[in-house]
Amino acid sequence: MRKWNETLTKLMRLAGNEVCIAYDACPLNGLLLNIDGYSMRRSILPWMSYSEWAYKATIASMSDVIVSGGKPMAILYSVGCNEESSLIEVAKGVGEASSYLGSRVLKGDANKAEVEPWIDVASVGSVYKKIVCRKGAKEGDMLLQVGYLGYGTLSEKIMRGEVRDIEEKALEKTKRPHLEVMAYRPISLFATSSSDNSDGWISTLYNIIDSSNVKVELERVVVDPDLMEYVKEEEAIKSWEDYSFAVTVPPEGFEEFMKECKALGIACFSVGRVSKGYGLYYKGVPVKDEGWSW
Amino acid sequence: MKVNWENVEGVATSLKAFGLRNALLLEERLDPQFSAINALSSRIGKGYSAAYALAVSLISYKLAMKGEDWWACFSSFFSEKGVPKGYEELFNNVVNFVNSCRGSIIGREKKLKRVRLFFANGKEIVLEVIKRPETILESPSSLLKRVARSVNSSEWRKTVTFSIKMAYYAIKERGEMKPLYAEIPIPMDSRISCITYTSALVDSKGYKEIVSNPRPAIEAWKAVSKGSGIPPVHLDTLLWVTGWAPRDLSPDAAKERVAGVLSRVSKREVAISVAKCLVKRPCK
Repeated sequence: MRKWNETLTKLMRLAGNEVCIAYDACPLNGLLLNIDGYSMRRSILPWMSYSEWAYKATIASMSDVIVSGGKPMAILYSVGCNEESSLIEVAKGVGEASSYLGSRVLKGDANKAEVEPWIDVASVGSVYKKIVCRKGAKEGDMLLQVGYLGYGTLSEKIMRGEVRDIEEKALEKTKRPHLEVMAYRPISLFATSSSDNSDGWISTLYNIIDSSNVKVELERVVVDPDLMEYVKEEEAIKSWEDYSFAVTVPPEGFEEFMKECKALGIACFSVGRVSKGYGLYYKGVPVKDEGWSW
Repeated sequence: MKVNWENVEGVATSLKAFGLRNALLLEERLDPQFSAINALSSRIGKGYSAAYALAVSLISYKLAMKGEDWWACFSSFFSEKGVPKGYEELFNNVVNFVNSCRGSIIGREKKLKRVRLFFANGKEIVLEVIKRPETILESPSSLLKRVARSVNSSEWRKTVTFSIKMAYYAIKERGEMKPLYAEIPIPMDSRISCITYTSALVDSKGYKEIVSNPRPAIEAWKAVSKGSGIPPVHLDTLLWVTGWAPRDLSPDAAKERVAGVLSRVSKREVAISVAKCLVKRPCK
């Protein structure tokens, strides 16, 4: 993981965007911008359609904007497919996700892929109050989990054949994870740092740990109640593509944050704290950085 | 919700011009389900393939993969198993298939329960189909009734009607123009409901209303079948292969797409006329 982070830093230096290194979505003149891309074979779950693949890619891209304190505004996408029918499915998925996000789709770019299909989704949001990045967590801050965990772990268990019977709504959530769209409000108002869970919960927490140079003591992991039958808490700590958020909040902002969550119907949980030192500790045990990488 | 008889007549007339022969050609050229089941039949024989198709169709709902992938999984799994040595092995193979093909993960236990019920109550049906596969062509309506009874279901239920269609696919050979003459209701899934709405065969608020109350639509397609001379099973395939065009595209683009699909086996002007009748309004 560390080696991959070094590569990313090198790439950013070469492209000239190191300024965005501590941001899930990068700020520009009151806007927050992000782009995410996927090759199909490495990202589509075997039970997903093209439209669900595109839906998830769109949610994933905007998730970074929301976790940075941005209100969703617009989506732009570029796709490469082998067949026209797949392009139609993708457009449908992007459109559905955009409606869910309360956003609008601006430009779309359709291409003929000679080999493997791919998609890139760019997201634009407006800063609600203040921009929140990975850097900024301080000793004494509370650690909050916004949204649920477990969708990625469930997908992995299904693919390994460890889940043999599942309810439709649980499987649906692996394709269309529940994203707390309105979370940009409490995050922008009260958070000191934040990061979204796309590559794994551990790596999400390390985004904050590395950028803020702090120690995070994680006490619990909250699994989506619809997934409890299939995913244990200890398994969910490695869950990926859940698009839940890790947020740090100073003790004086905690009550206000939770009040805002309640008013907006957002699932927010106090799950740990930030302390002096470095690294991640789950129930007192050190946890090494790991997650999806190259 | 009422049947619009004027539109029923219009659709029937255009489909009569399209013809049964073209509907059969469309089936074997464009339906991937036919290709999958046909491949299995050539490997293990029509009878066993039909028996498997009957059983698996009955649990072909809420699949965690596309229909064509499910039937490809079916075909490769049972091809590998070869010819079963007896009823017990046939039953075990179906159970193993349900347990191993990922498409059946949603409600797998319920699916297995249905398989067990079918093999417990439908032994005569299975053995008869294995011994005399032609019974599917000779007495499909009676087969439909017996299959429905074996799983305590109704004849118009989607998986039950679907089972007869898939069993027919198992015994149909490429190039063989033998239609399945049976008053089998068209399985009303969301795709067929959508085209029922766009062709305005019933006066409904949208296609979801047709999904939840399919009876008037079934009646309308039964009349279309009678008027066009295309049995419902083949009508179903014709509608199925036109895909989601009426839902995904504007009416003009959808008409063009449907005409494009149908003109692969018929004259362009006939295909356009059918497409015009099938896509009168957007699918909502």
